[in-house]
Amino acid sequence: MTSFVTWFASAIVYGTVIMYGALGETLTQKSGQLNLGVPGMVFLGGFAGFAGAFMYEKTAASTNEFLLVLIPLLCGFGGGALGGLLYSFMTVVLKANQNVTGLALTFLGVGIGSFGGIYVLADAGFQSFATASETAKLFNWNINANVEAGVFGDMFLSYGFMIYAAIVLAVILFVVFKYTRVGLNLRAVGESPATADAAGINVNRYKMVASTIGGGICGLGGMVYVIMYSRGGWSTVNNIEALGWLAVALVIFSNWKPLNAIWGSYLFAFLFWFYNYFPTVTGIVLPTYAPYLTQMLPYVVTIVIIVLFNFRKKKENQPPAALGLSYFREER
Amino acid sequence: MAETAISFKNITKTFGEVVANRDVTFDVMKGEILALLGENGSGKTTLMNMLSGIYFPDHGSIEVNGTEVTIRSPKDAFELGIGMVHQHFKLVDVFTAVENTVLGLTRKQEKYNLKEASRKIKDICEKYGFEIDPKKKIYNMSVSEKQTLEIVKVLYRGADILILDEPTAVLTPQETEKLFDVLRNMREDGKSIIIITHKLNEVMEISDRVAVLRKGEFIGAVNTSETSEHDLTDMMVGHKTDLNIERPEPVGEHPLLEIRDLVVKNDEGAVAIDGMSFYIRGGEILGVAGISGCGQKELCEAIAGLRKVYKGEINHMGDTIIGLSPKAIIEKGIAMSFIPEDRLGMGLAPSLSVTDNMMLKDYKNATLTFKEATAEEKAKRLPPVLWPFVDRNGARKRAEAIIKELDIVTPSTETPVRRLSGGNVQKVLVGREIQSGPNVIITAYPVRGLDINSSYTIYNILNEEKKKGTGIMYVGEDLDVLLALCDKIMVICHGKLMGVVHADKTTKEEIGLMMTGALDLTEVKSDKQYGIAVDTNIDEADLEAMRQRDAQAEEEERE
Amino acid sequence: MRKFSKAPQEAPACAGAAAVSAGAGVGVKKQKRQPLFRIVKRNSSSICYNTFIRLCAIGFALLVILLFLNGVTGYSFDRIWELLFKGAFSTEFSVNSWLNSTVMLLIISVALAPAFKMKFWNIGAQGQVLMGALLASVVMWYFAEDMTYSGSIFLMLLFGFIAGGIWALIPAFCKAKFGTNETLFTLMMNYIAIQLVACTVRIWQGDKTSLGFFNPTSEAGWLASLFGNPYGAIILIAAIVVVFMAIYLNHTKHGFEIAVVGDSPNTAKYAGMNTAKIVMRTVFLSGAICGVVGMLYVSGVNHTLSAETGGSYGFTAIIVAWTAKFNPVVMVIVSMGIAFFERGAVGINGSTTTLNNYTSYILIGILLFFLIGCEFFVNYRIVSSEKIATAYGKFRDKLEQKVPWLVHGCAFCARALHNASAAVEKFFTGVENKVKVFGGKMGRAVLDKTVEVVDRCVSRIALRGDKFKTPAYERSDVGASALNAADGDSNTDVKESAESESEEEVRND
Repeated sequence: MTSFVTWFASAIVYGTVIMYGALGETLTQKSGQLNLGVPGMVFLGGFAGFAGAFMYEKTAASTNEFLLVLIPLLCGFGGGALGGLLYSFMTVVLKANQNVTGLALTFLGVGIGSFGGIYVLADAGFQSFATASETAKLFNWNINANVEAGVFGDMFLSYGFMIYAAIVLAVILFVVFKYTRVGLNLRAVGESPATADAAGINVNRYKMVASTIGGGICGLGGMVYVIMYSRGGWSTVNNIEALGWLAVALVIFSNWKPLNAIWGSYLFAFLFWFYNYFPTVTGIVLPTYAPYLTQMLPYVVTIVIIVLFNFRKKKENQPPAALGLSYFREER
Repeated sequence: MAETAISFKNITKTFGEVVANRDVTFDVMKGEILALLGENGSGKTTLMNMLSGIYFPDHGSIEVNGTEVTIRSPKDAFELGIGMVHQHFKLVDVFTAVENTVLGLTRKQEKYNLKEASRKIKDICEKYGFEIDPKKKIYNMSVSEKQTLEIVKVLYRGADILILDEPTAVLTPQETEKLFDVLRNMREDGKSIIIITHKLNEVMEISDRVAVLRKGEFIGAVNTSETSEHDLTDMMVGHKTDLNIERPEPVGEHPLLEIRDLVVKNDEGAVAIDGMSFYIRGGEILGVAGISGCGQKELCEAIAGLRKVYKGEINHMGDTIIGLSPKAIIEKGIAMSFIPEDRLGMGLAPSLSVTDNMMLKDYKNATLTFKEATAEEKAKRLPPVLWPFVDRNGARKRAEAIIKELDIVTPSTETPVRRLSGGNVQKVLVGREIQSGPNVIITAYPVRGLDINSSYTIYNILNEEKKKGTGIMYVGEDLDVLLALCDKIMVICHGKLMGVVHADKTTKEEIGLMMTGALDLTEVKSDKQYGIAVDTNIDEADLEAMRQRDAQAEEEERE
Repeated sequence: MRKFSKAPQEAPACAGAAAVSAGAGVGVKKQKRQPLFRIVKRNSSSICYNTFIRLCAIGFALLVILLFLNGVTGYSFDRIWELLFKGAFSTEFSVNSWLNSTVMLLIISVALAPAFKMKFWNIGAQGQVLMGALLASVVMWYFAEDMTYSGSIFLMLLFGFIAGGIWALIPAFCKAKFGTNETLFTLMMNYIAIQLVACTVRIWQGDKTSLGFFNPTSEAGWLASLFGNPYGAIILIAAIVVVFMAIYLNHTKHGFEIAVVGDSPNTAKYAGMNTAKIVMRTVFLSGAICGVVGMLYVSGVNHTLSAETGGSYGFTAIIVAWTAKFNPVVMVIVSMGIAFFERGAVGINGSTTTLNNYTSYILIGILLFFLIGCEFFVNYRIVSSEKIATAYGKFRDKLEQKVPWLVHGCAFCARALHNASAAVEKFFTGVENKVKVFGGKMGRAVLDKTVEVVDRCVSRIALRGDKFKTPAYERSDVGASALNAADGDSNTDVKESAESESEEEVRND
């Protein structure tokens, strides 16, 4: 039973990383921008968050708890947001092709993140990993560790605050999309920029802001991965890029609806750790190659959904109609 | 004394060489419905676009409620209380009606509250007699509901002056009635409504005054009660101008293409062609006249195999070609050419060179020019389909020949066609279609946007083809040209055939009346065959002569 | 009453602008600022200008790269350049690696070209490479030891080709028949491929710690060196692929169909082309060539399989193919450049402790961004508003009073440059056209000769003449007779062929 709980718990944490990525990309895609640079932005945020925390820990004489939490948050968000800003500048102002720009961003983001990470490690004396341990401790502070709450506590209360923040963020996005004026305008920009333009909405501004903030949220995901999942450790081997692509798959899987992303991300993470926990829970021994097959599942499921989309003509479940298209108001 | 709502003073607008509006001056009063009448290309939409802020006048000024204003964007127009409902709706499909209505409103204008907005919409609807369900999604709405929503959108923003562009084009008669009731209510409320339209019967029914534009100029404004459809047609089409277009005698005249009881649907699923029957005869140019959107586009596409035929028959020299794709038609050896309205979007590939466009239809032939070879040698060749390469040299020779013959201005044969000017683009298209030696040519608006010289070149080409015995269907908008160039003119109104008349025995007024549905000649002399003129000017002697000529031609063909 | 005397083209289209002429009356309550610049789409641009912009982009990228490396390592620009060069070209091994990288990247880019030309976004190149590698590995693992060298190589090529092709065909089919978004579909297929490969590796690995080389002792299925170069065969295949694709896209019927479908699907339908079939066929080919690359990796480079086979080239190639805009020469140059930075980074890395393996990612990323960004200047023009124009005019007038020679000199130079570039452009376009025409004629002559030879062979094989009867789609006799009746028809070739065809039909009947 305990291994199931562990499975559950690790799925929640892992899933949160994916959720941040997916929420950020959902926001970007709602404005009609298809940003394939999610792994890059996640990586950038992870690196920036880690670097900020690590540097602060190293250089500060005595660490302020508040700052220990704030700095990685700001840096993580900032790193991802910079990536999003670069992407939106290229695609909205310079009207470059969105697919190609996104892929270049992945490239650059992974490069800068890996490069910078090693740089920081070098600074720490050539270890193969470094930790921002104080920060990690704070982020991983949870209720369950301090209060006796049994299994319920183990399953639902033993997480750092970022996990709950993700759910809150998803709900906030949901409310914004559905019930606010800004959300309405944003959706119009993604569905039909010409109509939005005719209604007086500044299409370019909405796209840039959405892409930048979306990138920032993706960056938060990277930061969560490094600080919480890896317990503040940065090593030369990183799984972040794969998480980025899972986030992209999740955006589609969740039908561009933030609330679906919540349970979707946990499901994806659950499947991801299937090979590890399934044997211990059920006692059935899986062949050694099983992990790769189960890790394939989220992508297979996403493809099935993409194809099924075209049969379910229900328009609300379609991607934003103008996704991936540049908008240029021709001179009349 | 009614107040002036809008005053146009000496408005002029030019696009390149084309003068869309020339020195237009007239007034629109408060609390009236004004119909803006004119043919295609008369400048009505351009004028209204200037009022709604999409274009800006080159000369002249606009006054609203007595003060001169500058309208540089739709937002300015809204602030002045002017709202335009376009022919192409600007709605987001997946949103509800109320969401579309409040889209783009800022916090200063009103708080974001969908319930409040729904209530306001319901109020507007009650006031004027609409029916809108605020929660309904756009993709679930019919065309008339969408149009109603566009009008509500405009009213919601407090418009006092409404401009409706061809509002009844997409409506059934019943929906039109409902719309007119609403418009009357709005007029009672003191609003000014400008309706851009062609339909004379509706003009007579709903408008208080009519302003007529012709070829960019303002002809006059009359009170509806003091005029008639005849007078209005006169103002709209004017007197016949004499174009020096040659019209050789028709040759042959046996039917090449027979259309029988054709029913075709348009993209929205409505019926575009409603049971038409006619012939296209060899050696004759059949003109097709009709208000834009009356179904000509769908007719051409159906015949060319680009649009599914719902019911009816299309027979090419006895062979039925219904249901055949363009490829099958080409393969069947049916020499039919379609010169579409959309030159660069359909007839030609815009980024490809002139040479490449020349072989668009028959690129599968291994050689476009066969060397001199004996029949046995050719028989032993591989079927051209298997040969992998395109014959660009042959295409280039073809291009050079056509460039020379039609005087096409282009830097070289390899220039992408989208760099050529409109006239030359059309010459390339027409040249390609003609060189394949078709016996039926369907052409839609071939001289639209062309300068005089290019237009005359096109007329000459068509006449040459006619002399060779090719049957030509010419869909055009300039009635003067139709009357001068064509032998017979077929008039379509709302997808129905209004009559086929001999060009030299009809008048512009008669055609104008048929176009607007006011005159239906199909029942007159209904015992005549389709394709033979059914107008009132043909007498028995002419008919007998035609029948004899037909019988003779058929005998010749059998030999 | 004010007369607006602007030229017609100056009709304002500024976002949200509403200029109010002073004193002209009440129209708008606020006076909004008119934007200073407007963006207008270009109609056409000369080759000169395009090349100039691209060179600028590369120049700026290079500058940023040098600055970055300078900032991190502290070396001077010269030293950096020297190290990059050494890293790429100093030893035979490094030159070979550079060649190999160039060539692999090139083949994938070339493979993507036809799909992109049809506006089909094949992001799945990495997956297609992996599937090709996978199937080739299957051959190596199970069959190669029992086959001859050429047999195994041929089988591996075949399997790689088919595997990559099918992997690409699945999303293409869904796009053609259902209209699904191919970007996301092909992307997901990548990750499924990665997992399939990882799974297979794990199965084959069994209890060993790593998979190791395939057939290490017998070297069965290993691609042999050619011309003394271990990557010789790969380079040869690359050359073949590039030449084949250039011919395929520019001279064959398929290539023509691809061009038309990509340019205007409506026109393709109007011309009777089966768009769905063309899309599927082209994307299959695209994926198949990627599959061959996978096979080349397994057989010729790594001699083993892993989920990292092909690395990030699948993605990089997308950007290369897109920036090169289907021009094979540009693809070669860009591939060489990227490979250069990749190898050069190794050189720099080794010489300093401040850099690391990921330097190349950053260098290449910078280069790619500049290449992507420069497209804007190729496609659009910046037009300054009236305010700027009048301000500039005033400034210029003042200058002219003070230093007339400067102003006139600048104007003269500008004019000279403009004329020079126009002349150069005319020259280049003329040359390009002449080459096309001449090449066409030459090519036609060669092909005609080949046709003759083939004819002779075929006619020897053909038993009955009516096997090759000309099919019915040649022109009908009505059209031909109509043409015959026409006098002075300058298109004599067409007329002749029509006549002879109708004669032939009569005889065949």
